[in-house]
Amino acid sequence: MNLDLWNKVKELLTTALALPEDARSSFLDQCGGEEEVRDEVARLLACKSEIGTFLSQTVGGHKLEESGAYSPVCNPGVILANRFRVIRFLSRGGMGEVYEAEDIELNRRVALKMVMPLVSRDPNCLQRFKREVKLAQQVTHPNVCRIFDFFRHSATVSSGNLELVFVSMELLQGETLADRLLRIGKMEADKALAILSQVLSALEAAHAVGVLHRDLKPGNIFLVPGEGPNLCRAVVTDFGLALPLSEDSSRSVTPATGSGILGTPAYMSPEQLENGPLTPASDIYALGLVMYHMATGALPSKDETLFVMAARRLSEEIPSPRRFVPEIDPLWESVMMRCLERDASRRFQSARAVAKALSREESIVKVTHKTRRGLQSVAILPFINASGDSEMEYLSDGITETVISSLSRIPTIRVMARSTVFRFKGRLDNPQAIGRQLGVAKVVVGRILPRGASLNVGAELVDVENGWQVWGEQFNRRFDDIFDLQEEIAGKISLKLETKLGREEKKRFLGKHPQNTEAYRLYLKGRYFLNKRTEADIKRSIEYFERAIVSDPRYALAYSGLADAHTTQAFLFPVRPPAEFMPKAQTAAMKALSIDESLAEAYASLGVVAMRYEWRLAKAEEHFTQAITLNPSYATAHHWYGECLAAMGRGEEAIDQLRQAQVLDPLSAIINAVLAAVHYFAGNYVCSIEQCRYTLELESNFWPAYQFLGMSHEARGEFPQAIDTLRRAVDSSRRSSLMLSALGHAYAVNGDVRASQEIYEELEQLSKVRYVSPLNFALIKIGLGDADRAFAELERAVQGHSAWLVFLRVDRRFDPLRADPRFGEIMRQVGFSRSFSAG
Amino acid sequence: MEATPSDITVLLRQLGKGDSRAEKELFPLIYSDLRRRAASYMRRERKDHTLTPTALVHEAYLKLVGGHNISWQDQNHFFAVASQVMRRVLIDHARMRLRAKRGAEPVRVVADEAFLFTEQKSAELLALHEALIRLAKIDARQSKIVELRYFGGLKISTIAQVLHVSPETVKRDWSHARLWLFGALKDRPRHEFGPMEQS
Repeated sequence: MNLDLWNKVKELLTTALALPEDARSSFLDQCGGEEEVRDEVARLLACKSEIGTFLSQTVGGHKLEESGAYSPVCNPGVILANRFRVIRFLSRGGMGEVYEAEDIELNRRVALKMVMPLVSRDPNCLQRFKREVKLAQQVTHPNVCRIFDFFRHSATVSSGNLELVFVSMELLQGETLADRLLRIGKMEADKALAILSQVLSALEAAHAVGVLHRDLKPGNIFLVPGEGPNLCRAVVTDFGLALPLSEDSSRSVTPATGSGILGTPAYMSPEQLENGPLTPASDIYALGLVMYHMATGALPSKDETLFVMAARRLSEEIPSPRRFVPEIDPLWESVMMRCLERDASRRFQSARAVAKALSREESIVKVTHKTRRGLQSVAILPFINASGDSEMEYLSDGITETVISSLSRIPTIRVMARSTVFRFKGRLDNPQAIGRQLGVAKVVVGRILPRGASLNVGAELVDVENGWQVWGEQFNRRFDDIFDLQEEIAGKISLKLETKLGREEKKRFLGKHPQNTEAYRLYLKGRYFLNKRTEADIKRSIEYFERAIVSDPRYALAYSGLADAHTTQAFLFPVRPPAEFMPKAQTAAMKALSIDESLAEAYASLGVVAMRYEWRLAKAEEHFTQAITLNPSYATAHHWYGECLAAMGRGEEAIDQLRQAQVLDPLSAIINAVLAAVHYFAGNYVCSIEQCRYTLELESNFWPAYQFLGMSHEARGEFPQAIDTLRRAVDSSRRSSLMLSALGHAYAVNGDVRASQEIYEELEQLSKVRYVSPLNFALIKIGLGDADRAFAELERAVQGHSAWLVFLRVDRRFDPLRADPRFGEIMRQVGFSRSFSAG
Repeated sequence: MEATPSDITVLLRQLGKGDSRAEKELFPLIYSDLRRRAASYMRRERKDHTLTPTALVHEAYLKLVGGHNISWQDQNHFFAVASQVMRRVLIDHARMRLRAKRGAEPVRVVADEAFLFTEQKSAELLALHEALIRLAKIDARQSKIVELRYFGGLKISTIAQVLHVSPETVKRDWSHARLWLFGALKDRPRHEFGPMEQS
C-alpha cells in the first residue's frame, strides 16, 4: 500500500473509531474514495471487536496506561445486591471501580467500591480482606472515610457469569488532594498544614486500633468543602488495604497477599517496596511524600516512571524540597526529611510525633518570614561593554561592582552578590528571566559606550514581574570622572528603590573605592581566585591582593582580601605552620580597619583569625556580627559567622546564617559547600548529603563538597560511598593533607587498616617536604583506635594552633576520645570551657 | 565492553543535539549491559515477577546513567534506545530458545542459563518482531511507537517527546498499529500477547 493510500486509511479509521460501534459500518458505506482504502479500514475495524487484551501489556507484563476511553462494568440504573442502584461511575483506582449509588434500603447515597478480582477470586484472600474491612469499620473518626459493609453480586452477562464483590462506604463530595495538587501545583504552608493535621489525626486513630493504611497518597485524601472559604474537612479513604497489626503494635506484620505489591509505588516506603515488614512508620513515610508533594507540587524525580521513582528511593537520598522551593519553611523541610528516612527506625514513630514536631516551632517560623518581607531585592546585571574594545571591560565590570557594593550597604536592600550575577555575563538577552531565576524583584541592566574623551553610560531598572522599565537614564562623563559617575548611578538607583539613604550612609560610600581602576581590577581578580579554594588559586589570589596594595597602598578592601587569603590558606592548605600566616592576616585586617573603620570585610577577616587561630569563638562572634551590621548583604560574613556558630554547637543558628549567605550569593560553590558542612556538624547527614550533591551540580569536582559528602556518608555508616567520595576529595584537592587524613580515617573506621596506614605513611612523607598539621595524624590514629598516639598528636596540634581544632566539639570523628580525661584537657586548651559546653 | 556513565551521558547529549551516529555507538554499550542483566535475571531464576524486561531497562538506566545529571530529553533518548536494545535482546533470546528446541544447530546453552520465555512465547515474540518490520515499511512511526511502548514500557507522554509529536498522535498511532498488528497476527495459532505466561 502506498503512502498516499495509507494516509487515507488512517484518516478514515480515526473518524470511524470515534463513532459509536454500530454506526461505523454504515459510515464506511457512505464514504466514497478508493475501495482498497475502505476495505483496509473495514478489515482493521473488524479486528477491533476481537482484539481483547492483545498488546495491553508490555513484553514484561506491565499494564500499559490507557490510551482510550474507559468503559465501566456497571451502567447507571443497575441494581446491585438487591439494594444499591448505581447512579454513576466515579473513578477507577488500584483497588477497582468506584460508583455513586443509592442505598434503597436506607434511602441514602453511598459510594460503592468494587474489589479487584485478584482479591475476590481467591477464597483465602477474600476471607482476609473481609477481616480487614471489619477492622477498618471500627475506625470511626471525622477524618476517616466510614466503611459500612461488604456485599456480593452475581449476574449473568453475555460474556459469562459476573461475580462482583464490593464495599459500601461514606460518599464524599469534593475533590481529592491529588486533583487539587494537579489543579494548583504546590500549596501554601498554612493551607497544607490545615490538611496535614487532619490526615495525621486520621492516621493516629487508625494506628491506635491496629490498622495500617499501606497506601496513603493524595488520591486517597478527600477534601470536603466545609464552612468558611478556606476550611475543608480532609478525609482519608481506602483504609481497606490496611492490614491488622498484632495486639502489640510494635510487632510487625507481613503483607496480606504474600505476593505482589498492593498499593501505589509512587508513595511507598522502601520496606513496602521490598516486601518487608510494615509498621506505622511505613505510613509515616508515605505521609512524608504527601507533604513533599504538597510543598513542592511534585514528587521527587517526578518526570520518571513510577517504577524508577520508587526504585531510586531504595538506593538514593531524596533531594531536599529546598531545591525546588528555596523559600520552604525549614521546619517543614526537616520534618519531611525525617519522615522520609530510608531506615524506618530513624523516622517519627507515630503520627502524633509528626504533629507535635510540626506545631512546635510554628510561631518562630512565621516571625522570620515577616522580618524578611520588608527587603527590596535587586540584581545588578553585569554592565555591557558596548565599545567592542576588551580593554574597556574593566570599566563595565567596575561600574557593576561599584553599584553592587554601594547598594549592598543599605540594610533594606538585598543585593545579589557579584559572583552570582557575573555568571550571566555575556548572556544577558533576557534580563527578566534572569531576575526570575535569581528570585529578585528587580534587575538593573546597563551598558557603557565610550565616545571620544567621554563615556556614555546607560542604566535601567526593570521590574521582573512585568518587565516594565521602572527607571532609565543616560550619563555622559569625561573619563577622569569615572568614580563620581559610579557614585551617581548607585545613588540614582538606590533612590528609585525607595530606600532612605541617610546622609551618614552616603558618606560611607566614600573611601571604599580605590583611586585607580588597576587596583580595583586586581582586587576583583584576587577575590575570584580565592573563591575557587584550590591551593594554586589561593596563592594566585595572594599575589593579586598584594599587587592591588602596591598599586594603591590606601586601598582598604585589598588588605582585607589579603587577610582572607592568608587565613584560608592556613586553614585548607597549610604548607607552613599557621603561625606564619595568621599573624600576617591579622596585621592586614587591622591595616584595612585603620584606613576605613567601617569596613565590614575587615571585621569579617578579623573574625576568621579569632576563630581559626585563637579559637576565641565569642570574640569571633563579635567581629562577625559587627561585619553583618555594617553590611548585611556581605554573604561571606554570614558564611563565616555560620561556621563559627557551628563550632560552638549552635547548629540551627549556623544553618540559618548559611541560608542567608546562600540567599545573597546563591551560586557560590563555597557557601553551598559550607551549608553542607554546618548540616554535617549539626548531625543532619541526609541534608548534608543532599546539599553536597547540589553543590557538585553547581561546580563539579569542588573538593569541599566531596569532603562533607564523604564524611556524611561515613557518619551514616555507608562506608563504600564514604571512601569512594573521599578518594575524589583527595584527588580534586590534589592530595591535600586535610583530605588525606579524612580518607585515612574512613579507611581505618571501615577496618581497612592497611589502606589507612598507607595514607598515614604518605602524610609522613609529605611532612618531610612541607608542613602537615599534627591534627591529620591524630584523626587517622583515632580511626585506628590508638588513643595514646592520637592524644600525643592532638597535643602537638594544640601547640601548633591547627585551625580544624575549632571543630573539636562538633566533629563526630573525635567521639571515641570524648570520655577520656585527656580530651577534656584538650578541649580546655582550645577554649571550650566547662561553662561554655554546658550552654 | 564496559561503558562508564560519563561515556553514556556524553553520547546521550550528542544524540540530543541530533547527532545520529551517537545512537549507533550507544546501542552496543546498552546492549552488553542489558544482556548481562537479563542473563543474571535468568540465572537467579527469580520467582517474583517484579523484575521484568521493562524493569531491566530501568535498572540499566540507573546503573548506566543514574548518578549523572542529564536533561529529561537526554533521559528520554536513553529509554528510546534502550527499548530498541531490549527488543533485540529478547528477539535474540527467543531465536536461541527456538533453535535449541529444534536442535537444528547445536547451541551451547550454558548450564545456568535458563530461558526467559516458553517456546510458545518465543515464537509469538518472533512473529510480532517480524510483523513490526513489515509495519515499519508502511508506517515507520507506528512501528517505532510499538517498540517504545511494548519493549520499553515508555509512557505516551515520553514517546511524544522522543518523536516530537503530540500525545494525541501517539495515542492514535498506537491504536491503529495495535489493530494492524492484531490483523497481521490473528491467524497464527494461539496468539496471546496479553499477559505474559509464567514459564
